Amino acid sequence: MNAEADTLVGDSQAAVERERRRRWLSIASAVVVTLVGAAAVIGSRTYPYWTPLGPGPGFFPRWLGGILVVCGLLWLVQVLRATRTTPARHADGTQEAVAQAILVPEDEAPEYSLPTVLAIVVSLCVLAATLEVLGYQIAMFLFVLFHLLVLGRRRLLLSLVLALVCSVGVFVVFTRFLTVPLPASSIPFLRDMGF
Amino acid sequence: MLLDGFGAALSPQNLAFALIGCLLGTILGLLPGIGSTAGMAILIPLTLALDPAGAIIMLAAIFYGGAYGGTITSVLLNIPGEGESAITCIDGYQMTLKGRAGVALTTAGIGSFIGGTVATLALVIAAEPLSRLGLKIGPPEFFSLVLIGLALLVGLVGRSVLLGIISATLGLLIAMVGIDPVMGMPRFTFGDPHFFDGISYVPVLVGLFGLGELLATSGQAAPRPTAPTLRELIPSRMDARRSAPSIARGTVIGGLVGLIPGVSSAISSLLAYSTEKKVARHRDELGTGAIEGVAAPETANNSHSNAAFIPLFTLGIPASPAIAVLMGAFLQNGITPGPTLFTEEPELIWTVIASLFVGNLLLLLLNVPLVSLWTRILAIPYSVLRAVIFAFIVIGSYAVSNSVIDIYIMVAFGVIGFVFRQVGLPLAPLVLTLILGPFLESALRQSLQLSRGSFSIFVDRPLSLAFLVVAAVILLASVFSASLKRRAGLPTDAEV
Amino acid sequence: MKSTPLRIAAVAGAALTLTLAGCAQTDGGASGSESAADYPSKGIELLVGYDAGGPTDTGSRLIAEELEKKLDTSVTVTNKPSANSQVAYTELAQAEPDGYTMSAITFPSAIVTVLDESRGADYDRDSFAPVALQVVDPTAVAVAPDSEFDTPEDLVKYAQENPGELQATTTGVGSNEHFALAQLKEAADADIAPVHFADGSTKATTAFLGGNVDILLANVSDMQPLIDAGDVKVIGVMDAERSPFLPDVETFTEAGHDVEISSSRGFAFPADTPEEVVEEVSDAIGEIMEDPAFEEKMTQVGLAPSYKDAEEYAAYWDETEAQFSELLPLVQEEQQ
Repeated sequence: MNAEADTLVGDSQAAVERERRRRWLSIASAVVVTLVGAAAVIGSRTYPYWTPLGPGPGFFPRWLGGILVVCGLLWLVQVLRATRTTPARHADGTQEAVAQAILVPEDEAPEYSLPTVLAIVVSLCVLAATLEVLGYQIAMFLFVLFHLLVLGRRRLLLSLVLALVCSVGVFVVFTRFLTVPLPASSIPFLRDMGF
Repeated sequence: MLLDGFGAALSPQNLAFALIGCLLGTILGLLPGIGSTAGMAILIPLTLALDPAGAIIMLAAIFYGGAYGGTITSVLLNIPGEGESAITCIDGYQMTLKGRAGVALTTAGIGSFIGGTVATLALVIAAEPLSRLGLKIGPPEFFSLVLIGLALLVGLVGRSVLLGIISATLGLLIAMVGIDPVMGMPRFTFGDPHFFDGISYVPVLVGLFGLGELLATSGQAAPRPTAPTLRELIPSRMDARRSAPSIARGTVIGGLVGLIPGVSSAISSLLAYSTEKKVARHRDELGTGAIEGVAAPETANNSHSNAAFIPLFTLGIPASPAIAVLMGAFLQNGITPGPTLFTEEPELIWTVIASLFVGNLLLLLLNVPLVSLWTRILAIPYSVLRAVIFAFIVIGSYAVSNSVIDIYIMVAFGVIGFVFRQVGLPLAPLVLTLILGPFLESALRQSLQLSRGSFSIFVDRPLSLAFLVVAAVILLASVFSASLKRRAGLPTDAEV
Repeated sequence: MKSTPLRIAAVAGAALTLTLAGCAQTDGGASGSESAADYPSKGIELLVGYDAGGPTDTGSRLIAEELEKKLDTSVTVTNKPSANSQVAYTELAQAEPDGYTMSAITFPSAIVTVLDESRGADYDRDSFAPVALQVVDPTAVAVAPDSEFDTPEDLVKYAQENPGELQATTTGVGSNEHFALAQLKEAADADIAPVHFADGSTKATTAFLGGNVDILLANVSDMQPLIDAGDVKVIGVMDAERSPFLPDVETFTEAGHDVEISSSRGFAFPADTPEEVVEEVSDAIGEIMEDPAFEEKMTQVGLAPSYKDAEEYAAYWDETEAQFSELLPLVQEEQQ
C-alpha cells in the first residue's frame, strides 16, 4: 500500500541502488564459487583418485572442483570487465544494456528488501536453534508472532490467534493425527507443562 | 490395469488428497513468483505422513494447481508464477485490460486440460513398451543417457553457457556428499553421520524454490486484482473456433518437447507462442490480446509437464525441475522411478497415472469456476500468508528425518536460491544434477565393474555409443552457436 | 474489506486449536523419578533408522501398535532415516537408559557401522541392551528363468571352475549381499564378482532384468513380486532352514556349503537399562508374536516372524558380529 507509493517515487534511484548491489553480489558469488571449487579439490585429496577398476572416490570431486575454479574465475573476469567498461553513468540506457547482457534483465530479478531478507533468515535460524530447547510449540509461537507483529505490523489479537494455531494447533494435528513427531522441549520444567 | 488404477485414484481418500492438493497448489501458485515447482517443494511436508500413492497423487495435484495459479496471476496481474506462464502475460494481460480476463482463464483451463489429457494418454500407450525398452538401458547406457541430459542442460537452460555450467557443477558437487558408491568412503561429511546418505532433497528443494522465492519477492507490495464475473468466463463461439487449432498445436509441441530431458516447460510455451506468431490465422493480433496467445502456450506447458512423466516412469530420468521435485518425493517414499516400476509396483504406478487424468479433470471442473474465489485469496495480507508458509517449510524440512540440521540446510539453500536469482544463475541445472549426480557416478562404477575396468564398454554397446554421439553433438552445437552469436555481437543467450 | 473473512478464519482456527489442545492435555503430565516397578509410566519412543514405509518401519509399526495395548502406554515411532541407521543408533546409545527410548536394530547395519572404521561410529556392541529379535530375512540367489543353473550346487561348481566370471548384484559396498559373496568365496571357494548398486535395489533389479548381470542377490521378501511376475528363478537361499515363503528352494546349507547371510530386524535399549525393564518388554514382544493373528499380519507384508528373547538375541548378535568381522578383510581387500 504505502510501499507501492514509495517505490514509485524512488524508482530510478532504487533501480540504480539495486543494480549496484547486484553487481557486488555477482562479484561475491564468483569469488565464493571459486573458493568452493578450491575447497573441493583440497578436501578430496585424501580420497583415492583411481582404482584398478576406474575412477575412485576422489576422481569426481577433484575434477568438479577444478571446473568450478576455472568457471568462477571466468565469471569474475566477465563481471569485472563489464563493471570497468561502464563509467559512472548511472541509470541511463547504456548502463542498463550492459547490465542486461552480462547479468539479468531488469524484469527477471524480483524486488526484495534487504532488511526483510535478513530478518527472515535470522529469525529462521533462531527458530531452528531454539526448536529442541523450548520445544516446537513455544519456539514456533514466538516465531510467528514476530513475523506478524513486527514484520507484518498486524493487530495483536489476530497475531496471537494465528500464532496459537501455527504452534499449538499444528503440533496437535501433526503429532496426534498425522503421527509426525515434532520436538518437545528439552527443559524438564517446560516439558512437564506439556510443551 | 489402468481401470484398477482409476478405481484406486477415485477412492474417496485419494480423491480427497487430489482435491486438497489442487486447492493448496492453486493458492500457492497465486503468490507472486511461486509456480508449480516451488508450490510442490513447499507442500512436500504435507505428504510425508501419507502412503506413497496418496503422497504422489497429492503432489501431482499440487503441480497442476500451482501451474494454474501462475496462469491466473499472469492473466490478471501480469505477474508470471514461473517461466512457464511468462509468455501468457503478453496476450493474457491485454485481454484483462479489454475486460476479457474470464475468457482467457477459461481458455487456458480448457487448453491445459486437453494438452494434459492427450499427453497422459500418450503416457498410457507408450509407457509399457517403453519401459521394456528401458530394461535395455543397463548401467553404461544410463551413464551415456545422463550425459545427454547434462549436455542439454548446459546448452539450453539459462542465458549463459558459463553460468549454466557453474550451476550444474555445483549440483554435482553437492551430490558428492555422503558415502561414495565406489569404495564406501564417507565424502565431505565432516564426520557427521547425518550426511552419510547425502544431503536430503526435500530441504534443498524447499530452500531453493520455496524460501529462495519468498526472499527474492520480499520487497513486493501485494497486488490487488478484481475478480471477473461468471458471465464473462464463457468463451464465445468465435473464441472457441480461434483457439481450437492453437490448442492442437500447443498439445503437439508441448508433448514432443516434454520428452527431451533437461528442457523446462517454459521452452515449450515459448515455442508454442512463436509458432502461433508464424502460422495462426489472426497472427497480427498477437500481442494485443489475442486468444491464441493464451491458448497455445498454456496448452503446451501442461502437455509438456505430462509428457515429462514418460521419461521419468520409463527410464527414471527427471526431465524438468518440477519433475525432479516429484522424483525427489518418489525417492523419499522409497520408490526409485524406472522401468521396473511397472513390474514391481504396478498398482502404485497405474494409480498415479490414473490420478493424472483425475487431476487434469479436477483442475478444469474446480479451478475455472472458482476463479473469483481465487482472486479473493490474493486479498489476504501477504505478510500473514508468508508467516504461515514459513511455519510450514520449517516443519517440512524437520519432518523429513526429524532433524534440526535439515532446517539449517533449508535456510542455507534458501539464501543460495535467493543469490542465484539475483545474479542470474539458473536454478534448474543445479537441481537436476543434484538428483542425477549419484546415479551418474554409480552408473559409471557399475559399468566398469561389468567390463572389469575397461572403458570400451561405453562404445562397444551400440545404444550407449549412440547416446554418447548425441551428447557430443548437442554440446558442440550449443558451444558453437554461442560463439557464433558472440561474434555477431548478439547476446550469448540460449533463450529458445 | 479484507479482514472479514480473515477474522472468521481466525476465530474458527482459535476454537479448533483450543479444543484440540484440551484433548492433548490428558496425556502430558507424568514426571519425576520412578522405580522399574512403575514401568511404563510414560510414552516410549521407538527410533527407526529407515524411511517410513520400508520393511523395517513396517515391522516396527506393527509391533508398536500391539505394544501400546500390552504395556498400556503410547509407543511413538520416530523415523531417523540416515546413514544406514547410524544416526538412530548414535541417538539410542546417547539416550537415557530408562526404558523410554528403544530403537529398531537391523543386521548387518548395526554391525557393519561399528566394524567399518571409516564411519567413525560413536557406539559399539556394548552400547546396546538387546531386547528381542523380530524378523529374519535371508538372502536369496536368483538367476534368469532360462538359466542352466537350478541348484546352489550348479552355481558353486560353475563359479569354482570359472573364477570371477559370474557377476552378482549387491546393494552396495559392505551390504549383506556383499558379505554373502565374500562368505561364498570363503566357504565354497566360489568366486563371483560383485557389481554394487548403492543407488538402490530397484537399480540392481533393473540391471539384472536387462541381462547385464548374471545373478540377482536380494532378501527373500524382495524376491516375491519378481517370482510372481515370472522374471526370476530362485535357485538357493542362504540360510540353515528353508524359507516358509520358498518351501521348494534348496538352501546352501543343504547343499553342503556353510553360507548363512540374512538381514534381521530386532529391538534394543541403550546399555544399562534396568534388566527388569528389558525383560518386561522382551516378554511382551514374545507374547505379541505368539499370537497367530499377528503372525498372519507379518506374513502378509512379507516378513518372516522369528522371535528370540533378550538373551538369545544377545548371543545371536555376538555370533553375527564375529562372523562379519572375520569376513570384513575379504570385503575390504577386494575393494583395492
